[in-house]
Amino acid sequence: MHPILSDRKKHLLYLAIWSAVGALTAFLVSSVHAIPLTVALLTAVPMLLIYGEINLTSWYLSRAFPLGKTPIPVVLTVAGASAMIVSGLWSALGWGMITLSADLFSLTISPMPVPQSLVIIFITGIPFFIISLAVAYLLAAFEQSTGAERDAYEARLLAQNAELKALRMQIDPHFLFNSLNSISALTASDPHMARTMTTMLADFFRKSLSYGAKESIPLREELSLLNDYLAIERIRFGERLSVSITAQPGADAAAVPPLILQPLAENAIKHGIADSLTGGTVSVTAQLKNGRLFITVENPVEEDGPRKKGAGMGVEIVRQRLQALYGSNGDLRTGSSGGTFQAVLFLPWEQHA
Amino acid sequence: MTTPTITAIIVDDEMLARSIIREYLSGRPDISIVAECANGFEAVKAVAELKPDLMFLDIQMPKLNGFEVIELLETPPAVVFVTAFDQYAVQAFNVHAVDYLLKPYSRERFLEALDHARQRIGTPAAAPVKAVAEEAVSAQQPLERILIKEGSKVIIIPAERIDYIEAQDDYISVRADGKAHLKMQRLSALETLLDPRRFVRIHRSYILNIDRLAKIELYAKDSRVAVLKDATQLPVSRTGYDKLKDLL
Repeated sequence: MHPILSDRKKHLLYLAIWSAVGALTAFLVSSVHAIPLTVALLTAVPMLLIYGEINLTSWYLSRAFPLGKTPIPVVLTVAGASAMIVSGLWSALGWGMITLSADLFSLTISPMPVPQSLVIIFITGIPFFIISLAVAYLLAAFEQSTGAERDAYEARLLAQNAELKALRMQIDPHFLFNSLNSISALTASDPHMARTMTTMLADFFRKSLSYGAKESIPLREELSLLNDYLAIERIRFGERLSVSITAQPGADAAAVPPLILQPLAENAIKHGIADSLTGGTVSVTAQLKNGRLFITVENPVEEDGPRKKGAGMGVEIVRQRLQALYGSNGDLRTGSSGGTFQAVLFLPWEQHA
Repeated sequence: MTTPTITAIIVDDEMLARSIIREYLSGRPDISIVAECANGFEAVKAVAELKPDLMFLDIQMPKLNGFEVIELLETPPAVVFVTAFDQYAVQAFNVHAVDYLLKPYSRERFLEALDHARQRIGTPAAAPVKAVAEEAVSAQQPLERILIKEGSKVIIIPAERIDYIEAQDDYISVRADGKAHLKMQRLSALETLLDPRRFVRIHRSYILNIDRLAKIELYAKDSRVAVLKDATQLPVSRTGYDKLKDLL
């Protein structure tokens, strides 16, 4: 869309400016050549209005040869050549108009020889066109930068939406129902344990709410939250679940998005432990490698276990979050072999402030 | 007149979940717990051996889920489902479950379910559940595996491992990994449950896994045989041939 042609008000303003330039030219010409001001105005103003309209084409030229994508010599050649062509056409037209008004108002324009006035018009026409072309390029650059800003803003908004969605879906409500059922059972058989489990559950939810409100937390805290979660599940599953969490020295100071590991641990419980007769170990390891933080979550899998719907939903959310936050510098890979399911996530290593 | 004692079994993979049922039932001389099972296999075995009147059944368990347990039972007892998930209620209704308890539940709610069970156990039309259990299982259409009970052993055959299925009177013979397994089911009932993109009824008596097909040979005029990759030959009817052509 042409920035001036598409807007009536801007277009009128633009023409008003050219009329003013035309009027100024008329004053100069009438004083130099002793021509009546009205005649000079009637000739110069339309001439410059026409030229103003012609100069609007520079915008299309700036789009056809965008700066950045066109080599500079080409831009300069195009600018110079088009300025000469446009100005040449204009001076021919202008000369026609001058002779016409001279005829109409029976003036003898002397002592101005033909070639000289043509040259004057031609030479003034060139910088006008060059200037309008320059303005068109400036406009394009401005639009591009606001466009880029808008894109960046949209990307950030998208990332935030993914984050919000992720946090909302973070903890499977069935975890709460099953935990409450365990507590309900324990109140009769082991009231002390029931109380312990109640406080564990409360601590876990309180912590996850507070972490969820932050942009990032140290891995140390994320792992401790994960340990709290798995400790609660250990009461429910008994001997079927054992847990191993290890971090390479220094790795636990890394900044990570809060609760990024939670869906992976839930997945490990749901598909690894709950589906297995004998259960196994959920192991989490964190390592630093080549400026990146790698976190691996492993669990046993049963090959002929009943498949469940919604599998991989949590995993997909983790992947989306990582991509929204780190682009190609963060991702999650999953796979299983030899009865072990493995989820490996990586993100840029950064020490938590 | 004293009410007869009801025999019950508890099936849940979580020890604590079983203990709460045991607790709610304690002090009830009219109910006796004859077994506690931590998985579907144990449940199938225990029901066959002990023939209880009532079964408290979890749904999400390792190996066999609650619906699959019912499918494998010849004469299922009255069933009260006990689960943390509310999304199986419709399926549970379809298999004529007595009640559906959502974890955690109160003693009052549990006793209510027990009352429902007591009413049901007296009536002759107690458990027509088995017939529809299979369809309930395959609410996750299409069927991903076939369950077969051989004696007290449960065999799970994943759909992709099946070569072909043959009708034999009231039974079907499922051929997989070079072995044949008999199951009491009608071929047409199974046909509707299997993935139609993989399994084709090539003949009145045969369903073929098309991944196993090597070639189709003309045997006589208007009569063809399907040759499988292991050289087994199966008859193909004219309509079966049309179905195969559409798919290949």
